[in-house]
Amino acid sequence: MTPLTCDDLTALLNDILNDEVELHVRAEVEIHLGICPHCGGLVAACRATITVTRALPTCEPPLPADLEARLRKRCGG
Amino acid sequence: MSTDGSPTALATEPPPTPEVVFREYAPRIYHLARRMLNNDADAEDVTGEVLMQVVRKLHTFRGDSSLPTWLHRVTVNAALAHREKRASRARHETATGDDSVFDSGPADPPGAVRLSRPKAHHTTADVVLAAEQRAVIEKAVARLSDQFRDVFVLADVEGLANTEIADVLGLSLSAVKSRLHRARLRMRELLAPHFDHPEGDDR
Repeated sequence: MTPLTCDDLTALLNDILNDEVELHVRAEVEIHLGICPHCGGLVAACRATITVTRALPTCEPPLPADLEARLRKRCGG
Repeated sequence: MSTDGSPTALATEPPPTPEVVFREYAPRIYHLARRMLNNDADAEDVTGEVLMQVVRKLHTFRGDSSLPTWLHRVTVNAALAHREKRASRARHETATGDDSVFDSGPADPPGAVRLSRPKAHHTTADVVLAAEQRAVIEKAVARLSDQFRDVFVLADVEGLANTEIADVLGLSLSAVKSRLHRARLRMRELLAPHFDHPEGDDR
């Protein structure tokens, strides 16, 4: 199989981040990420971004008291 | 699911009370709507609308296992409809570039807030975000244009699969993937200055 280029890797970025890389391409992706600091950094930074953004809903702040009061009134609560 | 998409009564548990719905779900509804609409007042309108829909249909629920999924869908649909109405009202204004991945606006000063890079073994729940870190992320999300923000929020904040996003937003799977790709690159660019930079990191 032809080794992946940085452009190939970028095109596969979504699949890599979603863990949806096809089996026969996976080894080539790992090889490229191992030897290319730029692509390795890109994937690591994207993964870190996703990890911190996915944490948002787990720690949603409560609604401000005045907003909560308005919503309760609107819903008849 | 019933014909209107609301969950059907499958279990024997009693339906959740309005108070439980309000306490457990109102913040999630509001924050999702706010991220999608980028506006506090619009998010409040949508949250009120969704909560009223839910309260009206509570008697159809038996147990609330399907409630979060249904709420999610109703909130996204209500937010999209609200945005459409808002756009109609403002249709006399010049349309913004539809293909732009981010809205215009001043960039953050680099490195003003540091985001702790999560450890590989940490689960999402382990990542505790301080208020200022949350603000940095929310601000970056807000800088994405609507079409990219929708996909990014649903995929990388709410954790929906690409196929679910395509279904909710009425897009093809390839369109979802393309928008998500660009949104992720932009988010990475916006947040990169805030991450610690360990050895061999991206430049």
